[in-house]
Amino acid sequence: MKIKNRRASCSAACFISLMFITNSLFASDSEVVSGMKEIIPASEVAAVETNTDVKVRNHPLTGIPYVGIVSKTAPGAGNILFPEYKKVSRPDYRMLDCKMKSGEIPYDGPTSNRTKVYVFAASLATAGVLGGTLLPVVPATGAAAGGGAGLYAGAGTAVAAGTVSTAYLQSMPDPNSDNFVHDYEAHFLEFENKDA
Amino acid sequence: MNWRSGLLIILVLCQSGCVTLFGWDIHAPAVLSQLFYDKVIPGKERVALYLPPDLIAYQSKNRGGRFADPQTYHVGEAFVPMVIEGLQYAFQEFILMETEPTPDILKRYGISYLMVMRIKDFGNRVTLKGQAVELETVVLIYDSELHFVKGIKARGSSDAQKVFAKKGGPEVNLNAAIENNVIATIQLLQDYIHENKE
Repeated sequence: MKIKNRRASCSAACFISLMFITNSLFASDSEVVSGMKEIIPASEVAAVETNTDVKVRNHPLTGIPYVGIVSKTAPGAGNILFPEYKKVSRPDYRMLDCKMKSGEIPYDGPTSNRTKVYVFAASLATAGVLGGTLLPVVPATGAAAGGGAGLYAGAGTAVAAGTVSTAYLQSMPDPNSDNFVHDYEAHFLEFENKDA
Repeated sequence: MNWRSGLLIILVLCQSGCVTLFGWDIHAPAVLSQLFYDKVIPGKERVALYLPPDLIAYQSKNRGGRFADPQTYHVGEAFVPMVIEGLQYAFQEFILMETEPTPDILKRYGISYLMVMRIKDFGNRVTLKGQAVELETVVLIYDSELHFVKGIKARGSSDAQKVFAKKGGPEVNLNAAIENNVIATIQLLQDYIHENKE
C-alpha cells in the first residue's frame, strides 16, 4: 500500500510539475497567469483590454468634473468640449417676458454677431449712396438691439419708447407664466430601425 | 468700362451680399438655468453618453418666415455642453464616451445604459409678435451588450414675444428651447431606468 501511495504521489507530483512547465512554455497571448497561478481564458482577457483610459475632465462652462472614457492612442480626439467656451452666468428666462426691457435682466452671454453687418456696411460704403438706398444699415450701438431684425424694428422702437416699463411693473407678480411659453415633451419610440 | 457696367456690377454685388452678409448669428449661452435644477431630481445610476462627432457642428439656417432676416442658429455647440451638464446633475455616475463605444468597453466599466443622442429637427417660427423655436432630438438607449433597447423622442420649445428687440433675446430663447428638450429627455430617461430597476 505504501509503495502504491508513493507511486501515486510521485506521478501526481510529476503531472503537476509537467503541467506548470507546459503552461509556462506554451503560455501565449491568449492566456495570462496571475500571481495566484490561475489561468484566465483568452476571451475574458480580450473583454478586459479595451485600449481605453479614464480621464477626469472639467466642464468648460460650469467647472464641474466628469469622467471621460478616452482612447489610449488618441486621448484628445474625442474631447468635444473644447476650451473656447467662455463662462457665462446662468440665463434668467424672465428676460423673455415681453414686458421686460432690453438690459433690465442682467445678461452676459453671447449676443448676435454684428461683425457681418459691419462688413456689409463697409461693402455698402464702397458702393456709396447707391448701396445705402438699397438696404437698411443697422445701427451699430448696443442700444440698437431692438432694431436688428427687419421684422422687429418696430417692436424694438416700442421697447425703447418706455411704455413697456410700466406694463412690466404691473406684471411683476407673475411674469413667467403670462408672457412666454416654455413647453417640452418626450415619449418612447417604438421602432425597429435604429437609424431613426 | 463705362459707368453703366460699373453700376451693374455694384448692383449685383450688393444684392448677393445682402443675403450672405446681413443676418443674425445666434450662439446660445449654453448653460442650464436654475429652473432645470428645480425640475430635475438627481439619481445615483451609472449612465454613459456618446455624442456623434458631427453633433456639435449642427446649425440651422431656418429663418422662420418669408420676410424675416437670415438667421444662423448654432444649435449643436450649445446642445452638447447643456446635455452634459444636465446628465452630470441627473446621474451621479455619469460617463462621457469620448471614443466609439464597444460592448467590451461597456462591460469593462460596468455601464448598463449607453445613450446616443441625435438632433432630429430644429424649428423656428418668426412672426410680427415674436418667435418660437423648437428642438427635437432622438435618444437611442443601448444595454451593456450594445443592443438597442429603447428610443426616446424629445421636444423642447420656447415661444416669446419681442425676442429680437432685446440684447441676447434670440440667444436666450434658443437656450430655453434646448433646456426644455434636455429636461424632457432626462425625466423620461430617469423614469425608464427606475422602471427597469424594479
